[in-house]
Amino acid sequence: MANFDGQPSKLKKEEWLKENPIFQNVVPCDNLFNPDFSLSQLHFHEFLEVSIIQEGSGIHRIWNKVFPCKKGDVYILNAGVPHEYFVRDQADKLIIHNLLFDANDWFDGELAFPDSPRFCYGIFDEDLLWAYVYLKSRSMEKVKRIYQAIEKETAEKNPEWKEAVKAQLILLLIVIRRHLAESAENPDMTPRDRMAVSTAMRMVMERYCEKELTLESIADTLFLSKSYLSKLFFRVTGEHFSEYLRSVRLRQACRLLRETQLTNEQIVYGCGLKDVPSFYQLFKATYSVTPSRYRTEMSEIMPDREKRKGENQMSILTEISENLQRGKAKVVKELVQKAVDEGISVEQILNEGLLDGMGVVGEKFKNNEVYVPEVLVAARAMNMGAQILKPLMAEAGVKATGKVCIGTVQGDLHDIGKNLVKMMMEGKGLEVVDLGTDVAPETYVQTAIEQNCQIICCSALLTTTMGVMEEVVKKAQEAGIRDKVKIMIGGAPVTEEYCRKIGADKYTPDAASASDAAVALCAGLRNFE
Amino acid sequence: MKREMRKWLEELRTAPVKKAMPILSFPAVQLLGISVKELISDSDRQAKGMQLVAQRTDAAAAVSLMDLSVEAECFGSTIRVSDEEVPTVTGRIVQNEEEARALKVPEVGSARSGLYVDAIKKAVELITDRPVLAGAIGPFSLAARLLDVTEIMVECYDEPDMVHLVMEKATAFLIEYCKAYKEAGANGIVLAEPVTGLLSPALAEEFSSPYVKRLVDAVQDDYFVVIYHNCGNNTIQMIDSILSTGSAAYHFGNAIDMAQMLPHIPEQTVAMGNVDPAGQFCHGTPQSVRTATLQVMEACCHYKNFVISSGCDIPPMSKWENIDAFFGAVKEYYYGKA
Repeated sequence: MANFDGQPSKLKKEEWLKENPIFQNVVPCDNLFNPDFSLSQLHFHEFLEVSIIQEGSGIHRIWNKVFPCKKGDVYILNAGVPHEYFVRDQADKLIIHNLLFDANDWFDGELAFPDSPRFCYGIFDEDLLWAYVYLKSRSMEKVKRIYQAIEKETAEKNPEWKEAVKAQLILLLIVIRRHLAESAENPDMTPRDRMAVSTAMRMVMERYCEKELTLESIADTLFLSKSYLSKLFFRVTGEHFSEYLRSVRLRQACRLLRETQLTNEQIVYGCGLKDVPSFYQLFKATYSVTPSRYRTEMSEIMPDREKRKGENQMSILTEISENLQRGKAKVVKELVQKAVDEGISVEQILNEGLLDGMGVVGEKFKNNEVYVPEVLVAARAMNMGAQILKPLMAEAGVKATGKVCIGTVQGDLHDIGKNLVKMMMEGKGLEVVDLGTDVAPETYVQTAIEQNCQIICCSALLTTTMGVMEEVVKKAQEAGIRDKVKIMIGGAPVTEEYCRKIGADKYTPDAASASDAAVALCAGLRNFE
Repeated sequence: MKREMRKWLEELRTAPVKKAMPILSFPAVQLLGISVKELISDSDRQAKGMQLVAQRTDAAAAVSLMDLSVEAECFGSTIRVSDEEVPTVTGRIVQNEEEARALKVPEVGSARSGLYVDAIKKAVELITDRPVLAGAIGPFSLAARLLDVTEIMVECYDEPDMVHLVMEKATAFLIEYCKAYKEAGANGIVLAEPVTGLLSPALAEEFSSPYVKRLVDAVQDDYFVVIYHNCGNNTIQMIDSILSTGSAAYHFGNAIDMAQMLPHIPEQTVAMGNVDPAGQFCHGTPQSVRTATLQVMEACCHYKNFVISSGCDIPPMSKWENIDAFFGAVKEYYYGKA
């Protein structure tokens, strides 16, 4: 293994990204011949590098670690990570395709890159300095196409080319994320085994600061033997447990060095490491620099970024809203819990977090900026958050904007339209009773009476079933609730004219306008009372 | 009857007076005096129904039933059949990746697929004055029936591999199914991919178009064409990926403005659409159908590659006087233009 002693050269942003905020190049193997590791071309950037091995095999040295690399390997190197590629045999045909850019220039606090200076965060939800992924042929093909598209856009500079490049970068992120999700599935293992390893990993993330944390203590908690868990862990992660724990602790130490002014002693304590001298030793051995040098380097490379991050730090409610818009159900749930724990009022979390996010999604849907799948994943995220708030809402006296019962009419089993309307209405703070599909006219009326609904909402896709809507109106009249309950209708064959003809109250052509209309109708009914 | 279908499409495209090509088959139940249930379970009646429609109308081609439950039923889905309505698939037969892996690709001939192929075999004997087009569901719309239409939308994000796995199997079946139609003598297929129209363009590009393209590549040639149908409301936004399927012609629904779609279609490619089937053919009057048809034609016929059609499958109980009014309006529009 080669040791890193010398100073790596710095690739400055003003030189490399002067012409274009994104730079692509192909490094042929001729420049990389280095049979005895003697010609160090170790360098680091003031920006991010995503390099893909397109052909051949060789060596990639990152800090003092040496990795054999081959076609299909992807390395994501954040700013400030010293590295170099080389081949030891001139016959090796190592061809690397690089993509250099400053994530901050492209995604300052935007979608898909929650922590913009560190691309890896967007992929792993984890703060890594660098990362490695091996792509299989299908994903590799997709990545190649992305590279070609970026190349074309940056060369041609047609109108909106930056938007197009940005879209490709997001696509790149998605391809890698999906690929990783696919790789995580190891068909040889039982779901129970996978669960055990992921629980162990989660426990490490939660308890890395405990000095006493051992494989044994985790195995005990999972009712597994130490040796069995050890084997499983290695099969899934490719790392021994002790290495994994050490790398988690070191990554956290890096983060604290970059983002805080804590002393080394405090960092050692906060990361569950043994003591300051061994921390120094471990850090130097892994990253080839001392912790204090690392801190200085990083503050030079990323001036003001952390400060800016602090200034821009989204409030937790904005985070809830934004994560909801991205459909990140798990994150939304965690953030809502955090907001509750921090003592933010239930009403505020609901209105400024969940409903705000869903409102944005609704507007975008109306404007054709997002589509049905995006609305559904956002709605699911909202429901996850709402689950936590529900028991607290009654206590806090928070009431829904109104109550609606909804269903697809008798004889009709199509429900995607109905489901969308339901989710949009919930996104407006309405309480919705879902009657499902094939709903008899009596059921709508009975539910409205029993559950005090202000609105009955009927959906139909078939031309032969929409007639049931007229029956619903008649049944509501017979039950004497027409002055208390409004009837809304919708679905592909339904029209405004049909609504008037059957005496219903409101027709809306899409889910977003249905939810707006429902809120207005409920408000109208309240004023009437 | 074997026909040079690419030539036929080219003639249709260049003709100054074009015949209409509505998706018209189910209203045959009224001409036959039978229920939908009876029609979907009898190949003789299907062929006869297509013949009666062909005799009554001057449509450019005879189109078989757009029954989008046939293929899912072959995979094991339960369907609901009624007297007056096109069958509907109920429930979900694939819940997770394991079930997706276990899902078997059915043989062509299972469930009612054999009956539908037979109907085409018989129809091509009865109808010789125009092409006979079979009908099949598109791969994503089939997968959506197996996974549930709402669930597949979320699974495209959560479990993309599972969706791809189901798509692979759906496509494998559909290729064989379309080949069987080809062998039975059909001149082409109307491939209905409506659920794709709900996706974002990016998801459509990943989950629908590559599979449709694979199907098109496997079955389309000079004598057998694929007419891609999508009645979703996002088709204009995803038109590039739709066109990448390489289908010979395209058919769009009334959820979009056809006049806005046409500038996106290459002028050598025939595009059809889009008089509202439910609002006009089923619930309209002869006068309203005439007005609606003329409106679409006024807005679109200056595009030489446009062919007037219904926006989707015309519902079974649509009044024949409305259907006749549609053909009447087409004749009226072209009157004196020959």
